[in-house]
Amino acid sequence: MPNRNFTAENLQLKDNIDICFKLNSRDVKIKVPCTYTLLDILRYELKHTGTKEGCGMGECGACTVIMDGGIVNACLVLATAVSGRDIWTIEGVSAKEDAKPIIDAFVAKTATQCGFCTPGMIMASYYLLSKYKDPTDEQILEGLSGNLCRCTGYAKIVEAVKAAARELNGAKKEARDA
Amino acid sequence: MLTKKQNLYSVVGKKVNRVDAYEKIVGGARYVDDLAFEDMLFAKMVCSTIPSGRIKKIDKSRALKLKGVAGVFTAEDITGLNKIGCVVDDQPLLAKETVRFAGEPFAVVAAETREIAEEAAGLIDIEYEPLEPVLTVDESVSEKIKVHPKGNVVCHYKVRKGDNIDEAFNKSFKVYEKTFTINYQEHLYLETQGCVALPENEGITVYGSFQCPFYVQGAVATALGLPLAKVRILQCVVGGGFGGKEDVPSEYAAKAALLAYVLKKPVKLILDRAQDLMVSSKRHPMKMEYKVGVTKKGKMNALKVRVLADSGAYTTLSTVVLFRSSVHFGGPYVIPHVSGDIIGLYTNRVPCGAYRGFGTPQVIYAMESMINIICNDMGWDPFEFRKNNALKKGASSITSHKIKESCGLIETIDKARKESEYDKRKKEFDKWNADKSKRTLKGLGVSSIFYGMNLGAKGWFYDKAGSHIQICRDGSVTLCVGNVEMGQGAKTVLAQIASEALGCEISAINFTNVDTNIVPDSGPTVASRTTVMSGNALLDAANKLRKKLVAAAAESLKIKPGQVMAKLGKYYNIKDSHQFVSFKDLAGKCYLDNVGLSEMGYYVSPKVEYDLQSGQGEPYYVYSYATAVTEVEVDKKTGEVRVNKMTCAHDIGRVINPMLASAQVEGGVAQGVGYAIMENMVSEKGHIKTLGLSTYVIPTTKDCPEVKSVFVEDKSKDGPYGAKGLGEPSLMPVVASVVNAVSNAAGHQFEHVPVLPERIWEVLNEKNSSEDESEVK
Ligand code: FES
Ligand code: FES
Repeated sequence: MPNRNFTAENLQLKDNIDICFKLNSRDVKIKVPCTYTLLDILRYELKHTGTKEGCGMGECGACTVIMDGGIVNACLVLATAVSGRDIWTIEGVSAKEDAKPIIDAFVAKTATQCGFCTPGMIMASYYLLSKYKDPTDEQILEGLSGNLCRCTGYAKIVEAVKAAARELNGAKKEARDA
Repeated sequence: MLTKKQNLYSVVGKKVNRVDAYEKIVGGARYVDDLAFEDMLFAKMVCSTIPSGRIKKIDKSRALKLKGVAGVFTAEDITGLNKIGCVVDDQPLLAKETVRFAGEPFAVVAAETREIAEEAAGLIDIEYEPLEPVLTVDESVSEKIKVHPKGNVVCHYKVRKGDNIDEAFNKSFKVYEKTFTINYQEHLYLETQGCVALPENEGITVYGSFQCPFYVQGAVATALGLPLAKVRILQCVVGGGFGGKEDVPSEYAAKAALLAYVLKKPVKLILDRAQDLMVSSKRHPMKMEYKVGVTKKGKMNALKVRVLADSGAYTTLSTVVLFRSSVHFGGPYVIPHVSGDIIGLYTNRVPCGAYRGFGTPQVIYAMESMINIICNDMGWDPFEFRKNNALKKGASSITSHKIKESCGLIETIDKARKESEYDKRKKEFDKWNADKSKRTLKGLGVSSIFYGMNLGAKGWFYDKAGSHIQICRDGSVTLCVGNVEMGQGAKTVLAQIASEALGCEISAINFTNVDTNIVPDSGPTVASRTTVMSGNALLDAANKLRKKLVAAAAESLKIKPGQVMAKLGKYYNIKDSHQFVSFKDLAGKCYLDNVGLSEMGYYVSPKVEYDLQSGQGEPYYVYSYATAVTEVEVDKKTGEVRVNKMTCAHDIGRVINPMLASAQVEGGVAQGVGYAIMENMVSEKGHIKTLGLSTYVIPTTKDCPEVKSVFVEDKSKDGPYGAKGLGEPSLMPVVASVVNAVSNAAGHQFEHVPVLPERIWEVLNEKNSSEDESEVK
C-alpha cells in the first residue's frame, strides 16, 4: 500500500527478480516484481494472509514477522533484501509448541477483538518472550509499543503476555525438575 | 455478585471465551483482502485534489493506453443511478460536474495488478475550475457561499422545554456561559475499507468489511440498476468499524460492483491507509455554545445550547447522528427549561458521519465541562451535584421523556466514586499539587452519561432484525443474524443467548457470517443495538425451536411438556434431572419424526413517539448509563498528560458476558483517551494533512490507563435477558472525564479538544504570570 508512484521514466521498476529464502523452515524460490515488499510476497505471492497490512508504511505493526531472529515490519522490507533470510510468520509460529501458551492466553484473556492487529501482536509477543523469560511491565509495554490496536486498549493483551510468560516459565521449570 | 435469580442461567452472565478468538489469533480468519479469485482485477479510486470546483474535463485516454488496464469508469459509465446518499440524495457515486471536497472520487480504475491500477490512476487527467471553498461552520452558516444549491443547512434540530427560557435564567442563582470546540476524530479501524465484487448469476455478489450489509445491498442495486434480489452481500471478518463502516463502505462496494458487473470479472477495491484517511467519514467537529443556570440549591434550572456541526460536503448520516446530539446535549439530567439548537452545516471538507457515540461525545464534553466549571466555582461536590440533578425512574429528561424503567444512573455515580476511591485520591492529589517542588500536577475528573438504545424515533423504520437458526440432525446448530461481528464480541454474546434459549452447549453453535440471501434486512450494526436486536431475533427463533424440542423430549421421557427443563445440552425432567435426553438425540429424533428444526426469528424495536418540531417526547425506548472517574498527571514543564487510571461504572442492564463487557470498556477508554488528548487531525484549506499513523497518532501500549470497570445491572424489560447496549457507552464519558481531570489539574477549563500539550503548557505559563480570570458572567 505504500504510494507506489510509478511514472513513465522508471518503468524498469517493473522488472522481476529471483529470490530464495526460508519461510517457516521451508525453502522458497520465487520470482517477484522488484518493487514488492516482503509483505507483498507473503500475502500476494505465497498466500500467507495471516500477516496483515494496516498501513504499508511501517507505522502499525500488523505486518510484524520475524526475520533472522529479529522482528521487522514486513511492509518495510524490500524484495531484494529478502534473499537468504530466515523468515517466520504467524502461520509458522502458531504451529510451534512454545507459542501455544501465548495463543491459549490470548484466547483466555480476550486479548483479541476485531483481530486485525492480533497476528502481529502474537509475533511481537513471541519475540518478546523469547528475549525476556520473565518480562517486566515496562518491557512488555515497550516490546508491544510498535503494534497498534484500536479495539482492546491493550490491557488484556498485556495480561495475556504475562499469563503466557508464567505458563512458559512453569513449563520450563517442570521440564527441569523432571 | 450473583443473585439467586441470575443463577438460573447456565451460559448467560458467564465468562465465556470468544468463539472467534482462535482463528483470529493464528491468522486464519479471512478478512476481505485475504480473498483472491481467478482473473481478479484490482481497482483504485481517483480523487479530487481541490476542495471545491467545477469539473471541466476528465481525460481517460492516457490511462486506457496503459497495458493491463481493464477499464476506467467515470460518472457516465454508471449503469444505474449516480447517487449514493444513504438518507438524503445529495451525493453522487462519482463526481460529475462538481467536486465538493478534496478526496471526492471522480473516477475508478480496474487493472490486472494493484501496481498497474495505481499507475493508471495517476494517468487520468482532470481539469477543474476551482471555486472558493467553505471551510468553517461560521462561513457556512453565513450562507455567503453555498456548498449545495439548496443552501448550507443539512439539518436543524430543536429542543424546547419549559415556557420561557430567558425568564428561567433571570431566576437562576448563577449563570455560566462558555463556547467549546472539538476537532475531528478518525475511526482508524486497523483494517482499511475494502470489498471484492463478483459477477454471478446475472447479478452481483459482494464480499467486504461492512457494518451494514443491507445498506451495501441497496447502494449496489441502485448503482447497477438491479433488483435487490440480484445483489448478494456476504460479510467477511471485519477488522474494526466504530461507525466508520456503517454507510461509507457502500461507496466503495458500489464502485467495485459496477466495474465487476460491466467488465464481467471479479474486482477487488481496498483503500490504502492514506486514501482511507483522506476520503472516509469522520466524527463531526463542532462549535458548541453552552449556557447553564443553577439554583442556590444546586439544581440546574435552565440550559441553552447552540451547536454548529461540520457535516462536510455531503449529508451521509449527519441527520441521524445530529439527532442524537439533540437528545443528549443536556446529559442525563433533569432540567426544567431547555432551549437547544443543533445545526448541521455543509462545508467543503470531508463528509462526517457515524462514529461510536454518534454525535454525543462532543456535546457530553461540553455539558460535563460546564458542570465541572459550576462545581469548581460553587465548591460543590461533583458527584452530589450530578446526583442532585440526575435522571431516575419517574423523572423526565430534557426531551420530557419520563423514565419508567431500567435507570441505574445514580448507582453508577455512587459506584464510580467508591471504586475510584475518589475522596482519598482527592486529598492525596491536593497535597501533591500544593507541593510546588513537584514536577507534575495531578487531577481528577468526573463525567456521567446516558445513551439511547437502538435507532430511536429518527431511525425506527430501520430498527428491525432477523435471524435464522437451523439445528442439524447431529445436534450441531447454525446461526445467521443480520448484524455483524466487527470485533465487539457479537458472535460470542449472541451464541450465549442462543445456547441459553435452545438449551444446547455453546460449542454446538456455529455462526454463518451475514448473508443477505439468508436473513432479512436487519438494519445497521450500530447504536449499540446488536445484543438487543439480534439477540431478541434469535430468541424469537430459538423459542419456536425450543417448543418443538420440548414436545419431543416430553414424548421421549413420557412426561408433560411443562415438566421439561433444558440446559447445556440436556432436556430433563424438572423433578428428576437424571431422567434426560440429550440435545443431540433430540435433534436426531426430530429428524426421523420429520419435525423441521429450522426457524426464522424477527424482532422490531419498541415504537416511540417523538415530536421533531419541539424536540419533545420519547426519542429512544430505554437508555444505558455510565459514570467515569479519571486520574491524570500533567507535566508542568512540557504540558504532557499521562492518564493513569480510569474507573468506569456502567448500567447496561444484564451483563451477558462480564469478560467481554470489560474488554469493551477498556477499548472505549483507549479510543476516548486518544480523542481527548492525542488525536489531532490537521486540515489546512480543506486538505487533510495527517494522512498517516505517524501524524495522526493514536494511543499505543504506553498511553493507555489502568481501567477498572464495574457494572450496575438495572435490567431492561425489552432486552434479551434484560440486556442493554455497551458498544458506544464505553467511549462516551471518557473524553469529558479526561478533559475535566486535566482541567482540574491545570486550574483552567479547556475549551478545545484534543487538549494538546502545547495548549496546556501555554495555560500553565500564563497562570504563572497572571491570575486566571473567572469563568462566571
Ligand atoms: S502494515 Fe506494516 S507496519 Fe503497518
Ligand atoms: S483487536 Fe482490533 S485492532 Fe487490535
